[in-house]
Amino acid sequence: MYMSKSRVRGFPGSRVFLPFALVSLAVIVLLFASSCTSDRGSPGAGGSARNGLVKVVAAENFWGDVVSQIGAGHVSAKSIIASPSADPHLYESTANDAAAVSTAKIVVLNGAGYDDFMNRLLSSSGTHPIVVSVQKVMRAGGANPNPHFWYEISKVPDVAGAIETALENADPKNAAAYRSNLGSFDASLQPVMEVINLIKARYKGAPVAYTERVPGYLLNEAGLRVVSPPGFAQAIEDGNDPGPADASAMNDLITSRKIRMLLYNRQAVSPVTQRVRSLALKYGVPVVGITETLPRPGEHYQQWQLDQTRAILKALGG
Amino acid sequence: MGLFNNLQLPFAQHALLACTIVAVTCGLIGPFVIMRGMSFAVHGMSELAFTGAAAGLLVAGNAPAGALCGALVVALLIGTLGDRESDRDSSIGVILAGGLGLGVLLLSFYHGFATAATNILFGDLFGVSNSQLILLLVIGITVIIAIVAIYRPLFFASVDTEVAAARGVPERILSIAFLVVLAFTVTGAAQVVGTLLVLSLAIAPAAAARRFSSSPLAIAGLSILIALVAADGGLIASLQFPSIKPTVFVTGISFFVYIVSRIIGPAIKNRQNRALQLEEVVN
Repeated sequence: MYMSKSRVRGFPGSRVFLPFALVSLAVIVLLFASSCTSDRGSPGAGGSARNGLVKVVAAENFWGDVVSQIGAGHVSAKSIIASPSADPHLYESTANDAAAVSTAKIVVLNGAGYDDFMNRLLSSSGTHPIVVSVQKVMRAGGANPNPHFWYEISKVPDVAGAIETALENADPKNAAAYRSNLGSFDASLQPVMEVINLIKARYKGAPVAYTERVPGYLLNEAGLRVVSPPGFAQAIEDGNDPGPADASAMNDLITSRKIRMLLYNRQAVSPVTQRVRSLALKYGVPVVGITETLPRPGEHYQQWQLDQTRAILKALGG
Repeated sequence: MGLFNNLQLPFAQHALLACTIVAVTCGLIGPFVIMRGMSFAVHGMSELAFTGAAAGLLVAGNAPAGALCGALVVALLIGTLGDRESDRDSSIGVILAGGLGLGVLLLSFYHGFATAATNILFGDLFGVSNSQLILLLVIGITVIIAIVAIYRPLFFASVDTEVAAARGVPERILSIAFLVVLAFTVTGAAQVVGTLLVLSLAIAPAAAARRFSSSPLAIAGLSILIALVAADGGLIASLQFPSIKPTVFVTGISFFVYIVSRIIGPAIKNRQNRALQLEEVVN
């Protein structure tokens, strides 16, 4: 735009431009070819850290915690979604995460679309670690399964069992330790199941509401009846605002005190969920905050679920 | 895990290759985007890849195919509604808003996690699969061939539409052709590296290059070079500092280069122009 007309007409570019384009084309093709060959050459194994520990990568920290409990002392477990404020739906990998998946011997993922980034990282890694998919272990299917499988406490031993099998296959010489750890892990879930059964015995069929279907399996196992509009929870889960019909149905449940308790996700607070929460507090409906992932580093899965189920029991009246 | 350990892993090589292809194609079309005043169109197209992906997911369970078909529709829409330059900005705004609304509607019909569609908005440079690389490569080669084929008339028409039209350059066809090329570049790249990176690679390098030189060839070369430095350099930086996401570095570098070009660009350009004038006087 700034050049004179004469320079435009006499534009020397295209003569030089063609070779330039061809060269860059050649570079791309060469790079591509070299990348494809290096794919084939990449070792599928690796997976054993220098200190002899089995490298395991879990997509979320609650599964990572189960891995480190079962593999105690023999595995080095890394969780990708570890920060309580990280939302697995909006995830972009760092080089650290990609490198961890590329060198892992076992990969644990939740599945059901909850952690699609793991499939992407697996496909870009070029390696073939043992993959434990919780969705497959739990045989969850259908069009839109609730992906929060770690809230189905009675089935978590199945997942722990699958993790133990994977560890045994990856590291047979420590099989006895893994088996014994699996036994103690399963036993440690007993207190949680006891609270759940207590809730069921005392409050079966009690109507409750949630802002997201995170605790859905837990409420179901405890015999509680979720009466909040499904569209409300789905919209929050998708990161949208609920439609007016769902929003007013939710308001009505609270203001007319038709529910015994409101559960809300403390990690996914939006203006909408905050409004619902303060409405519940105003009308004296008990509010229980739950979290999607392990909230405090170092805390174990069982303790976390025990605290939450106890809070639910307490909110219902003990 | 340092840079060199990471570079040996396939995920890093895939990412490097994807960055290179996207940088070359974006750097190549960038000067035209700026000359034709179409930065906003790039923005609109890359965001509307989301709608295309949502439609593809719903109809065929295939987000990439949907995004590419959607790109064609968006290109034709912008071409017809934003025909006159005075209308272009507002019509792109309208198409963008309407399209995004449509995408949200489509996603509400799709039951299940829609990460394949929403992922387009963010991208995942370290999750590039072989099939995505092949898609990128095909798009890259097609775009380079197309741009080389229409380079001269497109350049002429972009510099001075009226004179070009008077000389029989088919501006309307060129304009649509460029929109189609642009749409394919942008959507193809957005699926792999995300909307944000496409924006920073298709606009900033060319904008910076124009501050350094007036020669069209130098602008094209510089634009590709800056895009390469931003994309590959950003990627390498994120391998060196592996807890920081690559997008941060790529957008950071291209923004930095643009700021530098605003500060020291005019001086360099003046010196060039003076040398040029001197040459003309001598001749």
